[in-house]
Amino acid sequence: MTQKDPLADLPWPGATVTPSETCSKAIRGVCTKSLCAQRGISATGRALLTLGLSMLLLVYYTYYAVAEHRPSAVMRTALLGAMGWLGAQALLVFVTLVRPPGKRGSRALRLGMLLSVPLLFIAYLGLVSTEHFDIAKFAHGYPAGHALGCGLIALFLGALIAGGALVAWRRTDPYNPGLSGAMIGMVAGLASGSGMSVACSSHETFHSCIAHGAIVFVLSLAGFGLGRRLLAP
Amino acid sequence: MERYVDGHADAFDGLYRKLSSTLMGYLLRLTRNRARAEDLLQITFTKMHRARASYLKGAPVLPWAVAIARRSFLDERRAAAVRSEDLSADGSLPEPRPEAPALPVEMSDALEIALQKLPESYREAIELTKITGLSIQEAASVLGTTETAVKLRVHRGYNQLRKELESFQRPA
Repeated sequence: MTQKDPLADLPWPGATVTPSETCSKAIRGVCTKSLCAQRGISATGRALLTLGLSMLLLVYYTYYAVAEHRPSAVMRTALLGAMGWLGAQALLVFVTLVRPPGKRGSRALRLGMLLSVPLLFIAYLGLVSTEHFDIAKFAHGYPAGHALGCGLIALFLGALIAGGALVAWRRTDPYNPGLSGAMIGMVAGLASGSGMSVACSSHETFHSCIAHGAIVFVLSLAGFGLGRRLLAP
Repeated sequence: MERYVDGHADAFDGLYRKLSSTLMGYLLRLTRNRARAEDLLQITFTKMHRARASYLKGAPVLPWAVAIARRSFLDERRAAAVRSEDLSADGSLPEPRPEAPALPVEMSDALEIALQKLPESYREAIELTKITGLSIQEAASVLGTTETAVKLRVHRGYNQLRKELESFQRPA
């Protein structure tokens, strides 16, 4: 004899409850008072704005490198790399931010990107660096100080891009604003880190990985925190 | 939603009619207090109003609204956790909230009590999918998790509910 499944015909509580007339009146008052058309920029527009900021930063770094008479062969390689990373940024923005919330790449995919892309970027910086110091030589004296200064400048300029992009995407994601903020921070970090490689006079492995690469993690983390405040409606 | 964004007040009325009772039901289930639920409903609609220019065309409206309501509830709960208890006008502590009835008299009461006994993650998943009527994908978006996780939570929640309700159905 089979036992009846107690969940089969459960009297589930009703999904709908009518709010009181006072409450409805108050909401209508607020939401329809001097209501006018307020069409913000489209998701594609926001994405292009984000990428435009990245491009602007790259132009600034390139201008700086030219003004400082950096060796052209090294600069050309770094510039090509930065253009490649700009393409990667475009891909990240369009895959993880442009589609409406709820239809974007899965959370696991975005988390995977947040971990793997910065690591790939650091690996790339390690590969294209032309010098390699001993860790003891790097940690003492000028190289460490230079890396700190370089990292702070890259962080500051990356934070400006991240701030601008976060404002552009403001109030667009009630679902997972922290994750979207982290994606924006990562894109800004990639823009600043790859651009800094063009402008920087040092192409040493530790310098590149720490001063130009680690900022991607820092900005992703900052983007996560700020995104929760700025990107949620 | 798009007509509302374009500034049509009648479109807001339509949107309100469509969403308000579902959101109110959802918030009432979260707060178990009508006054708080109505406050949160107002906050939710105000946030939707402020964010209407950022509404991404093509996004489904109900999960978007439910996600805003849920976030408003979590913010309010977080704020309440760090707020000290208010004294009433005569300086005494407020009355404790009435407890849920200890012994269910009907199946619906038993279900209500059993739902309240579930861990929050299971309860939320069941409420969004079974009561609010969102799809698994929409519920996963609202909860910021994967579809598999939502299915797992619903399944485990059902198992716990089944156990609770079996003991209710068993004759004394």
